[in-house]
Amino acid sequence: MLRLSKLEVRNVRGIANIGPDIILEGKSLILLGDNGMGKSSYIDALEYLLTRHCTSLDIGRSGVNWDQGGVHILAKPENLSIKAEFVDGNSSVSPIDHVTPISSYTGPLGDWLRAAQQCCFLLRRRTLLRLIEARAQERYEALSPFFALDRFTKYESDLKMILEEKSNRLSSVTKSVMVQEDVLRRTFSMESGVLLTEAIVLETLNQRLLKAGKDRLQTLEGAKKLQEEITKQMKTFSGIEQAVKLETVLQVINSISTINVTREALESLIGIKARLEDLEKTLTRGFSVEVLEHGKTWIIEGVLNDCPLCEQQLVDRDATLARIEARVKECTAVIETKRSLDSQTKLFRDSLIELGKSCAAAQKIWSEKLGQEPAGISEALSNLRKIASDTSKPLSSEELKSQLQVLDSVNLESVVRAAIENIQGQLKALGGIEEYKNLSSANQALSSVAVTWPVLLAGRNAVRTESDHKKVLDRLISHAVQARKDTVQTIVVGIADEANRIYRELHPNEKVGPISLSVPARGQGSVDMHGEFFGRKSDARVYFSESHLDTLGVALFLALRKKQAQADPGFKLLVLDDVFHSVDSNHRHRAARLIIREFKDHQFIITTHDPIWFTLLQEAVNDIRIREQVIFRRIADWTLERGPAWGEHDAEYAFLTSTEVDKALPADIAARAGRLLEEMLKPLCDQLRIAVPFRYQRRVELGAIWPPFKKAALEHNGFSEKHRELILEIDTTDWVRNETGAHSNLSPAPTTAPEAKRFAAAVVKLYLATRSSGCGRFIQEVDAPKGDWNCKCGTIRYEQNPSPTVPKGRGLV
Amino acid sequence: MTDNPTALASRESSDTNKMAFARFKLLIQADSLLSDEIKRAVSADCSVPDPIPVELKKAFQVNDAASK
Repeated sequence: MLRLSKLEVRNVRGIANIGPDIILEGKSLILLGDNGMGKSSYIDALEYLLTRHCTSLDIGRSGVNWDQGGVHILAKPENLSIKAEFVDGNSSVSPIDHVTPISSYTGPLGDWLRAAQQCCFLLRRRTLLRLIEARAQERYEALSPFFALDRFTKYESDLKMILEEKSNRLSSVTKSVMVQEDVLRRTFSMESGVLLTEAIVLETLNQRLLKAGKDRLQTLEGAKKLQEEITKQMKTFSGIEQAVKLETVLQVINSISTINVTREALESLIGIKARLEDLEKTLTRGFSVEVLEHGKTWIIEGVLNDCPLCEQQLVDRDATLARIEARVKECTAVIETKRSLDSQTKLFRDSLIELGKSCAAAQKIWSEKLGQEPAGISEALSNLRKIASDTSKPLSSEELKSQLQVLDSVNLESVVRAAIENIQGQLKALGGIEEYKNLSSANQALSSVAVTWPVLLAGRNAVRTESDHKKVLDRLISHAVQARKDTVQTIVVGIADEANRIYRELHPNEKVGPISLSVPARGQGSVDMHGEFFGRKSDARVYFSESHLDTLGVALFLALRKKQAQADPGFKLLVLDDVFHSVDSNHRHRAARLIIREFKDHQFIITTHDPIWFTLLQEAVNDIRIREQVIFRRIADWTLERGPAWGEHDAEYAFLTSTEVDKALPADIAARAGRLLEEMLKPLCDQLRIAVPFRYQRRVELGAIWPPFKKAALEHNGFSEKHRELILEIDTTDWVRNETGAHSNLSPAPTTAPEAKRFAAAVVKLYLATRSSGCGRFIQEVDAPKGDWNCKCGTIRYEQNPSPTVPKGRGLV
Repeated sequence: MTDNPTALASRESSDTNKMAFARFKLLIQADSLLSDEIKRAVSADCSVPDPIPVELKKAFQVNDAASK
């Protein structure tokens, strides 16, 4: 598993051009430092390096972003530099920098970096309550990487596409059936509401046949054969030639489609077009949804520096992503409406063409048989052709309304009725052909049934099939939605269970909690969160204290980290940036142990400004027995020009006890001995409960803490008995430090090497007298025996009230 | 929290997708209004990039390259 080996940061936030670097060599880090000393600057740099995003800066507010605030205030942006090295077991891995795109890295390092981009590994004070305070949809979005239902949601989406296709097809075949039914109703002069069952059509047909002196048909299947017979019979009538022509014309006029279907299609088209126009008015600019989606991905991956919408430099990534998302929604609505428009336009044109064809056929036959133009029909056909020609290009809703007016002016039903009456009048004028007319009427009905009925039946079957498919698809989609919600519910319950387990460990035996996450039945893409307080369920913020909410935030984050670590065991990085500020003293010890124990398989970086937390984490590391895997660092000082400076008593002690000291300048020896003394007195004063002067926003310096320590040390019976001379020696020689290193004063008589070494030797002795080589800890005041100064493992002990020694030979007898 | 929650999908997807498909198929099997043909078609393998099985497309007479 890859682990960070070195983090090199230059000119980032509070870190100046000289670092210092953080050397990890694959180990974890616990970092102590007062507020404003650069701890979070390292975290910001690390987050930016791994994700090209910084949650402490890129918070969606104008002017607050990485580009504005990422660079050190005295440096130029081009001098900002972040680099990291990694180790994988015993082998080193190529370094990374903040400039090279993440996507350029390949192999295990590339996988690790991509996981870092996708995972939540960093918790800050600012993001502690993000999941708790999020709206249900935002919470779903934040948790969605854990759902990972890519394949299933694609399946669900494809089912919905098939359903849409089915709905369009159903609409199309339903309209086709209506056209066929209208033709039959007109043939039999029926009202539009009459249901056309086979029995009714058969009965109506048989009435015509009866009038023509023909036997009843038992089924409609015999219509074609009987029509052929009647056609033959009609040819035997004298003077019938004209009548035949008129009959033929009458048949073709009867087969003219009704205009109602075409009109309804045009009305729907106008409605859709008007809706599209409204949508397009609100759409400031049209974009390809695909381009926008790619743009989003590129912004998230940090590949894109300019906004794909306005091509300006990306200042606020979150706001830009939100704008793109809004554009995608707008564009998607427009695209869907356009798709409906295309579908409806096709329906309208098909209907118009069908109508035009039937009119053209009537015009043609009329002209051929009767040698003249059918005035009304020709005029109607001319208008229909004009509409067809106009609507071949895109029209506005207003223009389409004009087309509707033209269509209404055609008044086709009246024209057809007049034409039929005209032909029937001519037939009647021929005289003596009543029998022929009856035969003709039967012939027309048979012809219409023979042609239309099979088509109508096929259409009705198609409607039934498509309708059945639609019902099944509706059920499948409903089950798919339920299955997705159930799965998400299972996942969020798993997350909530893990968070509750952690929360319970931090707050045992309390009537606060647990929390529950649930997928509501309403809408899509929401996750609700409720907390329990003395049995009452509500939004956690209603009853939980600030401390409880903070703990809940930590528990949720740690639960997510654990879940992701299970899913992606190759990426185990945990960064907690000073998030324990409101955990009260009763829970600190437990929290420190829990984090170290639960995440000992991770490389963790934990920062704190609180020395008590630092100590508790040290104890937890020792107790869990991973001391060799963890580095402890303290930032002792910070200046704008120099940045953070480590407080490292180990390094100063190593120098002062090495042979290097013989070659060093007296000023260096004195300065480093002074730093060692200052560094060791800080934990000693904390742990021995020695009051030191309060310095608001200033570091506590040696001059302020030595006098109270000296006083306490001389007053402590056990310590004073053993080290009184040592304390007095340091007290008389610490002028050496003041004269040299710490304040760099010019002195008329420079400190000599023997003077510096004498001071250094005394400081080293005090170091050895107060810091245990067994547990690596400085001595602390213990409660029992009260006032004793002991190290944690007991190797060093100073009794406040030593037992009286019993002189030899004077014991009790 | 790093707020870049695009897709952890590639690593965890198989498990959660399988969970959702299994749940879906259970709901389908328990639905008495669905025919055996549909139940069989739904049970076919759903693979990437076209997760709708050919059998299901045939059941709905969806015309596309996969079902021809």
